Amino acid sequence: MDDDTLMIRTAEGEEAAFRFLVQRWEKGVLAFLIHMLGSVEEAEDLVQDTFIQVFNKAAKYEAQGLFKSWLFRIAGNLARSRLRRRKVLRWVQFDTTEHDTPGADEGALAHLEKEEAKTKVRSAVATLPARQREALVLHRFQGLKYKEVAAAMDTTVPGVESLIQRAMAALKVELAGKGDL
Amino acid sequence: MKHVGDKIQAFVAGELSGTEQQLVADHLAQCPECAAEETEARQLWDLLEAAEVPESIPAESAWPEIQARTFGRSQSTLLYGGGLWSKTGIAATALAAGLALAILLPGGGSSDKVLASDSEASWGSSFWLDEQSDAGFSEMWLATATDGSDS
Repeated sequence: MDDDTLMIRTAEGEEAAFRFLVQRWEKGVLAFLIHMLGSVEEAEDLVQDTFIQVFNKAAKYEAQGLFKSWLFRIAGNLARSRLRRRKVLRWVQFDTTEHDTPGADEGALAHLEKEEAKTKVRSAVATLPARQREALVLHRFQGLKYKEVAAAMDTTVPGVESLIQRAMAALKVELAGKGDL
Repeated sequence: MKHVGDKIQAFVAGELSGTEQQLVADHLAQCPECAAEETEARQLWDLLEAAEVPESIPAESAWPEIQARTFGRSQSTLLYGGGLWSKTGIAATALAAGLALAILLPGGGSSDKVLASDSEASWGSSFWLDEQSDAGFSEMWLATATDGSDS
């Protein structure tokens, strides 16, 4: 069932439809918010707030096949609001021992090196200005097309193109300086 | 020959129109400088995979908490107040209980007395229910963040 239909049913008070929607999108919203906030705990809080807003606004939602952009717009607004209050981005490394364990054919040292490389890349993404990071994360990790990113960020397609281009240029400088490129 | 550096990222992401995509591809085939840039852009794009949030996060769905703050709240609102039907229903129940007491109690009193106490109870219930409803509404909207943008 597509997202628009689920939203219409949610607005009609069908709990199962809303549940399906939450379970379909919560991982993506959480990943996006972790990139935006650098904190798993804060991101988890905002995932809840995002879906509370989705629920509260369901009756006003216009079904035009743009649910993904609309959803990430809500999440992005909440993240930016949180960042404005906090001013400084904290980057908390994921607990890799808990989430990523060495594969059967991977030695402990190789695993450690891989984790260090991941940390460098995550930190480099975290240092990007908020709007560049938002555009990049939505496109690269959430798979939104430029048009969808533009709708989510209330900007134009050329605007998104420029944000992503600048983000990639900054990452190139940051990672080249650390010998990863 | 005009270089296509400003289009390489969109080219790698497959975001150019068919014609543009072809023009850039043709240029890359002839320009080693832009071709090197493209290779680098693809490497960086692939490297970003390392920044993906692990699949294992979150360990559990947030649905129980979200349910409690949405449909769960609606159910408790139905029980404790908020909707017109629930208020009317509880007021009607209070009225029926009052009438039953007046009939069953020894020396049940005049019908005037029953109606007065019942009316008081109903109003009191409704007033309390309104307070509950408003509190719930405010709490839900406190979660709403303002729109805005930064760098």
